Amino acid sequence: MTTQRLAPAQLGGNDADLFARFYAQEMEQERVKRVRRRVIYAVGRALILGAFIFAWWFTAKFYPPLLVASPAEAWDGFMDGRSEIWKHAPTTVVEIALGFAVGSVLGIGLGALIAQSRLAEVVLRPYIIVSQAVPKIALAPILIIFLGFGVGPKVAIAALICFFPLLENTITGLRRVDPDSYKLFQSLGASKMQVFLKLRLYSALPLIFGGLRIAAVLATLGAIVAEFVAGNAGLGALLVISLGTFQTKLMYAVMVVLTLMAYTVYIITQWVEHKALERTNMLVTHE
Amino acid sequence: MEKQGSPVISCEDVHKFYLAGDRSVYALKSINLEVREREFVSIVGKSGCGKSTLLACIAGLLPVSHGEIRVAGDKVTKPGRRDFGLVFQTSALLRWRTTLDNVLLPVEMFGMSKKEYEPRARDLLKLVELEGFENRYPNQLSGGMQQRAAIARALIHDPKVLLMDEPFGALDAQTRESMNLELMKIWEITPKTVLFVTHDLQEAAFLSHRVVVMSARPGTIQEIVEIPIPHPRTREVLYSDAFLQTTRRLRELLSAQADAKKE
Repeated sequence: MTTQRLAPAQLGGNDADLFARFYAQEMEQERVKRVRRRVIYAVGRALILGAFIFAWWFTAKFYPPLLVASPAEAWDGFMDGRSEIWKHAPTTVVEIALGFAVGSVLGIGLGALIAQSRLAEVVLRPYIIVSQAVPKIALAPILIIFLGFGVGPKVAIAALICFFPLLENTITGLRRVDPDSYKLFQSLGASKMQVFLKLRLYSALPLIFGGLRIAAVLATLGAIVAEFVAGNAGLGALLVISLGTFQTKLMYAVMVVLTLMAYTVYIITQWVEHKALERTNMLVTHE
Repeated sequence: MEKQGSPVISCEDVHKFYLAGDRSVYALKSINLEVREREFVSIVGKSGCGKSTLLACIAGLLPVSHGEIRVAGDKVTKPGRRDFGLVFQTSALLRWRTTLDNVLLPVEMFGMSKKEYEPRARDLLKLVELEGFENRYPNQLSGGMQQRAAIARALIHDPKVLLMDEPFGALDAQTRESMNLELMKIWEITPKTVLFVTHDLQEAAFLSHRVVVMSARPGTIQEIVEIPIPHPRTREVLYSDAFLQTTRRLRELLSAQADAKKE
């Protein structure tokens, strides 16, 4: 981009022409800045990834391969154990999806109930906190008795872990409405339901989606940990098996796959959030 | 001064006392006020004098502790009267609705046909000079435009009474002045009974038939000042002797309060 100095005579022309020219000039500058920013972001991310892989590779040099696999060995583990990983992955995906769904319905539903009624809050609050205080992993053997060895207990644990932040965010979001908007609804004789559907729910959208993003990651974590404790299928179970049989390379590969999985779930949720907030004009951009 | 019709709003010995946390507030004491049909009445006073509380009581948003408020003959006990239109200090526009949908909100709440009222909503937006902004969102409008949209929303169901609680309080001086001129223009076209709370004495004097001056703690009516300026009121009014004398009188009344406090 070169900026040329214009002689006064060149600045003739009517306002519309000048407007169009300055507009084009500004837009071009914005575009260039945007491209430059994106490059810087990408380089920053790549640098951190590179540094991490280097540190991993460097650390692995000091340990026997039986205990620590290098990045290259993890890749080998992935290529060798591909079929094994693909066999176990669907179970985990199903558990995450169901756990997330159940947890979300529970979190938003209970949140809505509590936000609407002081009585519900006072009565339910202690038990909700108990549900978070109880060591959920220790719950796994008990859940197996009720729900069997299948996906049931894993879904339950995932749901139990992920519903709480969503519940808290939903309550805060539904309660925090603009006071004048609330007065307006009252002055229009709005019913509790109308206030909920036409005012509270929309106002709460950003916080509900914030809660959903956290819940997405926690559901993934919950499902994997549950498999870890009480599973014979799923990537968490494969992790335990590979650990027990000293298949270190495979274990590292599974770990990376699980990480990418949780990351993907987060990104998908974020994408849905973006779309939903964009549609309702609730998106607040920082740029 | 023009003659107005029968009383639309009447407050009879209204008292308001409330507890707010560990504080108790005697907000209104023995308020007697009558507002007649198509009359424009402003309430002025320092912050904390109970002027907004009085408006909220009339709107039915707050219950009174004693006394009676009647609107068109019926006692006010709850909010939701369809012959009221309210405007607040903030526009209270919903961010997720376009300007047009915001204006149509009361229609929706009253269970009436949005389709039927849409032409009226467009006409009102034209009246408040927001033609072409029907599909914009509130955050894309300036503060003055947002308040104009709020006025259009208050008028959509053709209420008899407009209750306005410092509607231009958050706007800069220039915008406020042009909003006042515009409000007068709207009032000439659709003369409603208006109760207008403000702390701006010039605004009150410019708009109103009568100005209610309140004093604080407990909030009482100190005096009701008639504004001897005929409608329609235009920018010229601002330079007239009658206007200057009126604002001076209002200012003196308020500073007398401050002096009385000191003694």
